[in-house]
Amino acid sequence: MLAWFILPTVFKSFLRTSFFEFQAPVWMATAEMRKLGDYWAQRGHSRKELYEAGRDMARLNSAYELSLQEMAALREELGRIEKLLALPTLPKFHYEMARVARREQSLWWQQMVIQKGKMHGIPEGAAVVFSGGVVGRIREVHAYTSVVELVTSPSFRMAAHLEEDERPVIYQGTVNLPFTLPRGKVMNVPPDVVLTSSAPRRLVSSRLGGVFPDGLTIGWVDRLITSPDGLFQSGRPVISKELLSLKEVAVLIPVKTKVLP
Amino acid sequence: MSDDRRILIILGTNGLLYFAINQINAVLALFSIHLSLDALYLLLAALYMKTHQGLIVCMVTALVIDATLPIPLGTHVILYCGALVFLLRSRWLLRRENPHHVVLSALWCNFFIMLGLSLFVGKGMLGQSDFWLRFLADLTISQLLLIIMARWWVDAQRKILLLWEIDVAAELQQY
Repeated sequence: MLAWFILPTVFKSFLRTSFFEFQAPVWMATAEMRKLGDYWAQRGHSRKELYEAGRDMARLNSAYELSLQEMAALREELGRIEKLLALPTLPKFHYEMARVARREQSLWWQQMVIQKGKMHGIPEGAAVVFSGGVVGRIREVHAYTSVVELVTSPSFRMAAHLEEDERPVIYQGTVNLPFTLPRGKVMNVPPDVVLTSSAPRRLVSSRLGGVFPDGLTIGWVDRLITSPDGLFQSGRPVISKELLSLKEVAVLIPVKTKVLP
Repeated sequence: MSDDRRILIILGTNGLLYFAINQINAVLALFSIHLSLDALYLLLAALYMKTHQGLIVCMVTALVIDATLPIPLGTHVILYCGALVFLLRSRWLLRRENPHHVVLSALWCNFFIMLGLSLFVGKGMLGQSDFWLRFLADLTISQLLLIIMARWWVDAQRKILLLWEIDVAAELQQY
């Protein structure tokens, strides 16, 4: 055991990478098998069901097309304002879709392995999102896989704010009790914020941390408790249950913008 | 050669078990439950293998597990080796043919590893009641499953070894 402690860090790091890469194909194969299972499950649908799904998709697509056009106009407007006021440009992201290969959500850590890595340009520390909001942050990047630290993990921390209130708060993951919805912890909420269980407020990401874009859902806060000194409040936001059964996520890769002289 | 083969076979079965537990845990994550059945990786090594063989099995299995986790590499190596050494030292007290002894060894081993990991990893959370409630829930479910699985898993591993004409029980009696 003593020998283990005096082993050089480089050797341990090499050993970790080797053992990780050695088992990575197994997790990739599992994800592929799951994908195949999904494919055959989809093939079991009747023609009528497929036709209806196609029709719904077409409607959604047209709605998104309109949103995209609106977004392009808004972006142009934003660019003009930035130039006019000489403001620094907001960070832009490129979305890289990745399938979940493995999930590990224990008392001690909560993480998932995704099927994209260094070879796909995934950087360490990048934000990971899904349709319901924030998933987590890239903790480790390997050749063809990456490890994502989940938003519910006790060691996860990020800057956030409540919807319609720009003042920053701190979000942290926490231990989840069995058979309950996943929850986190929100701290440093100003004392004048009032919440009721009948009207919960959305806790969203803040661009202050530099990792996440503004406004992505983290969870819903329905109750706040004032600290003994009365300076701040804290609460336990409810996180989306979908986070526990995700099949696909998107990694936000920052796009490097050219700085004009 | 036969030495190497038995180590590889046990490592293979441990690998399969690790993979299966991961798949089950992925499903159980929906209910915020996590199975920790680490004792199953060590049981055969502790009860039927020679010290050096057992240590090799323990270390390689622990390194495979450690490689993907956000903890210093070697955490599981130390915990597994600690549990294995304790079981090896108390071998004279255990009767491997007695199912109760096998189950008790597994339960003790699992408790030691889960508690050790909690004390090591959960440094900032040890004062939280939620942490210990979740620990108790996970421990109870894992231990219940171990009561059912421990004896069966050791027998299954022994039968797999017998397929390669390695009778660990008979060898140990000669030894």
